[in-house]
Amino acid sequence: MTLPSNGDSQDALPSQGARTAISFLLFLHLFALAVAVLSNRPASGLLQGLRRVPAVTEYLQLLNMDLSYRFHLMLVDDLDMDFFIEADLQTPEGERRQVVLPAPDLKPGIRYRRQERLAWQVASQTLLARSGASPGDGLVPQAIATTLLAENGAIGGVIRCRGHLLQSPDQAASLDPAVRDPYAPRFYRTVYEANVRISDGEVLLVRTGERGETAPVADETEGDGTP
Amino acid sequence: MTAASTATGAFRELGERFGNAWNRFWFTPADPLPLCLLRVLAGSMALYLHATYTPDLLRFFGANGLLPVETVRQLRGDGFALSYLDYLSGGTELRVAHVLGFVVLACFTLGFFTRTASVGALVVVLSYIHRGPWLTHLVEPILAFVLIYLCLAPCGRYLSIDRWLALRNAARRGVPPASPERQSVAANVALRLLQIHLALVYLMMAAGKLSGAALEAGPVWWTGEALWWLIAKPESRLVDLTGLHQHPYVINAWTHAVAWGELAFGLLIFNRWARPPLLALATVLWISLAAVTGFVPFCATMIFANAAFISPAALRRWFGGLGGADPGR
Repeated sequence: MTLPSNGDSQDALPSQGARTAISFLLFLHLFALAVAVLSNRPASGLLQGLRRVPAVTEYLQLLNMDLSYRFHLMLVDDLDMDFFIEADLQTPEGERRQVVLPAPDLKPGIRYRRQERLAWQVASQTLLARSGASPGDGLVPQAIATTLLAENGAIGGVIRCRGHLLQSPDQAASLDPAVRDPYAPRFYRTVYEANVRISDGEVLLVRTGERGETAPVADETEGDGTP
Repeated sequence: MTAASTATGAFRELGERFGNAWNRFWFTPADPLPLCLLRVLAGSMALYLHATYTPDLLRFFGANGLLPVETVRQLRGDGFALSYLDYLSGGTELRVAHVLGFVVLACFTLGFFTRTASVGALVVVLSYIHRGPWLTHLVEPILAFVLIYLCLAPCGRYLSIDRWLALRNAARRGVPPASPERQSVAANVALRLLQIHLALVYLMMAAGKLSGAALEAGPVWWTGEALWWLIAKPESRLVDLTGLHQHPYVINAWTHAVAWGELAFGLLIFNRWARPPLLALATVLWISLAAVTGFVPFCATMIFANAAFISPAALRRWFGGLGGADPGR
């Protein structure tokens, strides 16, 4: 492997025709990129209309660029916390097993992050479904339940998606150990819960009662009492 | 001279000046060395991400996996999010495809048949993204566009097996090796696209933080609390900095530095005087965010993508001792 030394050799400049063609393609690409970043949030009718320009959305989807790139990292909204899937499974022999996805000790971190994103997706779909905006609510939990039952040879159980509420600075400074401990039961909230059973070879999920909103910051009465 | 002809002349001059500036910006030949370095770094990141899929390959994408093809199609809708993994579900098929993906990504990273391998690497990375869209987070979109632009450029010209083979073959034949053609228009186009896309990403990240305040639950990037709430995510963080609750001003300053640093980067990075301090600031901020958020691959990718803004002359100074002068010149 070598590195360049100083010198001033150059590729030949493209012809006028080639420059025009390249400029046109650059314009199309930058237009598509602008459409992606401007129309992937609540946007005006005009911006939404730009998405309907032929081939723009397809081009962006193909290259995984149909994004707003607004990576805010934290807005303290309902989904700004860590989520995980917890399943209480029952085998044909009556044995009970608890499975957590992602497993707390899963390494390297990117593997943990992928499974955490799957749990986040369940929470996201659940919250969207509450606002009537998610047509696919239940599809991801169904797939997760199917896999977990098969992996553990189970015939039924309960599957939950739980969020780990955020601790405020005041709580972190509290003299009460139960408030100061971020892993205390008060800091966990169930977002989604369903009973799982197998019927005619199909895995069926029956949602249990709706839980409250998932404001991500724990207050004095937060949490559902189970770690 | 009439007013009309004066206006016409002024518009013509404006058009010519714009055209010249456009040609200078896009078609001035550039040194591909930054892109060659980016190829090695992006390829290494792609290899790492690919390798970490290995233990979970069947669990995610297998016939009874966590992400059945039909579920993914149903939720992502009809579209052009194409993936060759959509057509594979058997254990053997998936494993063979996964190993072939490894080979392609390794060829790309090492610069072996680089032109072909760069397109292949893009296909592999996009296929995994499209097959498991809910397994991806922040790093994949950044890596994807870096790979897209590397496909356009002669990114195997340096730091590559291709170049090493060319030099060896030339030495065997006893002829001077072909010129590495240090300056390239394609390299400039790829670099410019990468720079524009990256600056746009910084701007949008800043907009997401600062405008999100008005839309979402709390203006935490304005009140300076956002970094605290990131620190307070116990499963994510690499380092427990909750002790900083005693130093709210530190949290405030850190939060503002991240949000405003991103905004400044997006707006000012094309200014040659602002560029070095902004690159240094961005590096420090991404390292600090990696510790707090645990998003190490994302933060690392943001840091190395910034290499698109480093001048080739500076890169050559830094890496000069590694490869030495090109014997072909």
